[in-house]
Amino acid sequence: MTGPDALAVSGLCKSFGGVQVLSDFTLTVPAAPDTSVAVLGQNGAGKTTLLNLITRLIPADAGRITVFGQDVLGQPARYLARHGVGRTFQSPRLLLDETCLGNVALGAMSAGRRDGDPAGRAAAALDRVGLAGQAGRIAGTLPFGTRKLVELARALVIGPRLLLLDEPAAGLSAAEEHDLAAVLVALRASGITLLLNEHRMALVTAVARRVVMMDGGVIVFDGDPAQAMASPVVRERYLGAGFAAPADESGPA
Amino acid sequence: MRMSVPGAPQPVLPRAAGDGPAAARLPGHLRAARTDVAVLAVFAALAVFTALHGSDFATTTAINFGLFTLLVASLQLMLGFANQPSLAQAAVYGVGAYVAIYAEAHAGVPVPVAFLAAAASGALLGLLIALPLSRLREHFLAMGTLALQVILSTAFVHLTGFTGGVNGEAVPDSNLNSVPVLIVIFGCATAAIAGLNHLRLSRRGRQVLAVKADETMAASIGINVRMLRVTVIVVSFAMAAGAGCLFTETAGFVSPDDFTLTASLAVLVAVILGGRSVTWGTLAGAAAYSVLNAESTSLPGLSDLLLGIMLVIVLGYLPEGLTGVAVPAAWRARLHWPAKQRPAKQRPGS
Repeated sequence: MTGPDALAVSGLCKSFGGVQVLSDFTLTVPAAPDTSVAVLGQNGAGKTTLLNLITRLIPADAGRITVFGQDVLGQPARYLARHGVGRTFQSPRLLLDETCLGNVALGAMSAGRRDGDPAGRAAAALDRVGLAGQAGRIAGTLPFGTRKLVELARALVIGPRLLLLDEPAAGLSAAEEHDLAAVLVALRASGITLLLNEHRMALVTAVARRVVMMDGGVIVFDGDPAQAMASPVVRERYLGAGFAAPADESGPA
Repeated sequence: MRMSVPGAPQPVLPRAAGDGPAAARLPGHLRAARTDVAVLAVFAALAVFTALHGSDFATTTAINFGLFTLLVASLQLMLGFANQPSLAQAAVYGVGAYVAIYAEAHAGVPVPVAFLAAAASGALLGLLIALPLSRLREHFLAMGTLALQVILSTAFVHLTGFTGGVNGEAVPDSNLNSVPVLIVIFGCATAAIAGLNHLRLSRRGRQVLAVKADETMAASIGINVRMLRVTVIVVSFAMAAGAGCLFTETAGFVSPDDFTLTASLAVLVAVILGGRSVTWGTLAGAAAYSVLNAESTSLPGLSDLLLGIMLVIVLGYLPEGLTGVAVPAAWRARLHWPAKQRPAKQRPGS
């Protein structure tokens, strides 16, 4: 492994009122090629809070977060986008009156390189997520799954080295999930480090090389997807005793 | 579920008819320039009509319309682009007017320099106000700017050395009912509307619209939300104060009665009357109010009453404003009309 870790979180604490969501949370994601980490955990386990803390949308109570060696806790949210951290939201946040191209170009104009034409880079990003033919469509008229892909393209257009995805497969049909997995594997192979919160185990096994599980504000499991399926901790606290692994559990990994 | 992964991602949806390489383009400035030409034509026609008509009443009405259009455009920038309401546009207009008079009468500078001084004073005021007020949103920002209006209205009355107090301040070398001044004002109004028209398409304008729609999203893609919110107020106030300088060029004297809260409310009502189109909405709202105001001078308070009734009708029955109903659907795409508003269904906290 060369260079600093893609993401290093240590001693991170966050509480909302009396609810301690993260307590002394620690997670390190090395900047190795072909890295993708899936974060599991029940609703309320703090997965989205973790992403919001990393991207500085909410302030941390205590702890330290570095991204590619840069301490980010003193920085505003826009710093992350301008230094190679892209993110998506569980429910896509798009300009619904704008075209797909306009939405993605907004990302290119805001955090990407200032040279070159934003529309061209936006079109290229849409092509990467398989939406080349949809560039002229108004975002508000698109199905939910397609909106999530548009948002993914907007995160891609800023040229991220670390991509944080909040439940990318939530609300998607099986076919859309299948296409999404293909897109994410291609992104992983292109050198982008992925960190995804996800409940859909089929997507997790297809995309993630490493699985961590959050419970009670800390990580209670850390291993590869196959180990996660077999882990008594994960089965008891998250998957449920009757869970059957997806048919192709080895995945492409 | 089986997750086999092919080498390349496939399109999720079939290609829609007409979506080709041509669709992968952002709306261009050249195409939008047709709207600029149309707005210019409207003002040019009005100027020619006024000049041919030749009456003082026509010239005064046209001048008031042009000045009011500038104020409406300044608020359109804040409210229409950034959802930042202001109830202080008339007071800022007043600051520009007094600064211009002071610059011309006491410092003896030529009119263009006075204009720049007025605009700069508005920008400075905007900066001072925006640093604390840019943290306020919507109704709270309206209340904050209301306070600014009230403070400035009081200051205009009591800073007699600078404003002449309630008796007003005489304007040196003003040009009452002058057609050349009318043409300058119409030129500025055209430029302001054209500026808004092209701002929509520019990088900064798109970012402001993104901040208006969703600040969290905007920050997550690298937009400096606070800087844009402050900048919008600074530019809007500079526009309003610059309009105040133009006002002094056509007025024999100015007094605090020209810069009241009622005038600020009229600007707000005109923006709401106009609707969501930043170009035609600005023009339609300003025109509707100006016609009302000119036609109802015979009875004091009548214009306020009509304005109130119109506002109720618009808010109740025409939520997209005058421009939301005046244009057939078939023309909308050709005119770059804003799409019908859809409620944004975005869950908080996700």
